Amino acid sequence: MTVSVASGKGGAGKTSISAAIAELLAPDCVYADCDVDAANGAIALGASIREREPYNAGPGFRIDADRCVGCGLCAEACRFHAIRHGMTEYSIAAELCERCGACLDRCPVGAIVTYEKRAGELFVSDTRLGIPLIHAELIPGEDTSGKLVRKVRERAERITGEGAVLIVDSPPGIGCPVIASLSGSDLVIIAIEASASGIRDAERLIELVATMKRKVVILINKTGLDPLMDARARNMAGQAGIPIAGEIPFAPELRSLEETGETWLSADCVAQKRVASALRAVKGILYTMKRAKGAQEDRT
Amino acid sequence: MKYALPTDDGTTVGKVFGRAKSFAICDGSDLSFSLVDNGGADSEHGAGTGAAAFLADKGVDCVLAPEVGPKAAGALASAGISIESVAAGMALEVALAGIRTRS
Repeated sequence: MTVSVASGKGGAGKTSISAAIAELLAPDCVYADCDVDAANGAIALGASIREREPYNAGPGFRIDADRCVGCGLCAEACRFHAIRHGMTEYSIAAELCERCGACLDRCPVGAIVTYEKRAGELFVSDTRLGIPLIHAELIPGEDTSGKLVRKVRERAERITGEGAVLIVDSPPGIGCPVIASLSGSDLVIIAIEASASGIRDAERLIELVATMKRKVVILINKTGLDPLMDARARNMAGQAGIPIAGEIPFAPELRSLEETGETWLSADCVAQKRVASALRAVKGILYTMKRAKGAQEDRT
Repeated sequence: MKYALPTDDGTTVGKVFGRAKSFAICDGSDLSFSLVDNGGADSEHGAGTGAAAFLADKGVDCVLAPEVGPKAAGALASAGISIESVAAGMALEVALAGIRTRS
């Protein structure tokens, strides 16, 4: 069983919500932090790395000086101006190379060679909650991709036991890494920040999820700051026909809580009741889905 | 009708389309199929559209998958390939048999 938490906008509360759900379900869950560009699941869950493996994004390119005849066609072909003639020979500046392969295609003497380019590292960690966390770190300048998200998820799926829940903390946006985070999920939780940009970005995510035919619930976060925005968020959920699992009021206490390494579950403030009821709703939905799934498997 | 199904283990329907390890291709005359490697399973971006183009080149008419990403669905539609929904984890033969009785 997989539940993905996504939001469209960054900072809408994906990690906070994922971490609180993780604490609620622990020890029967695994946390996959697929927001690799800004992975903060490790901070939220207090992680210590247990295993690490290298992550290679795709081929890198370099020029074999022995074969290069210095014609310069590669430099001409490169739209990113990554190939320059230095003191004696042509070379590719790795930080400028977008790895499109135009140089490889153009070189008449086969002097462009590829190599496995290290882009980051994948980790399996132990957490304060006693559940495993799968996360990754990219080398600065490398970008995240559907491939990396898939790798993190695959690693997490391998250790998620029968009957346990895999929580996928998704990246913001609606692009390739988000699609890879949502595909195959049983439930998508859309965190909407009750603000103009939060609502606009969630709207785009809702359109995406509709094409993927996922089961979806909405959590509205940071309510109470502007009644108009709260109403617009609720309205959008209503129009999309998506149930609202709960609303979490903006409370500085929730942030302080995270700064001390706790999840929202330990909240002891005005937001406490709302947080608890939202999380209970999510747990209820997961439980019902799990039972329905079990009944289906019994029949087949 | 030529069918294609995403699979990771070669025996059951996989969860994902564009990043499936391979595709089971069936020419529709019976329930037998051949497996072809999905060269795009490890691409950084565009795995779904890449897989759609790959299957279009193979002359596939219909994709059987639990779900197809939005961009891949668009690419399949423009190639005139229909999409039928089947459950992940189902045996490939069972999924094929089901779709043949449906059409």
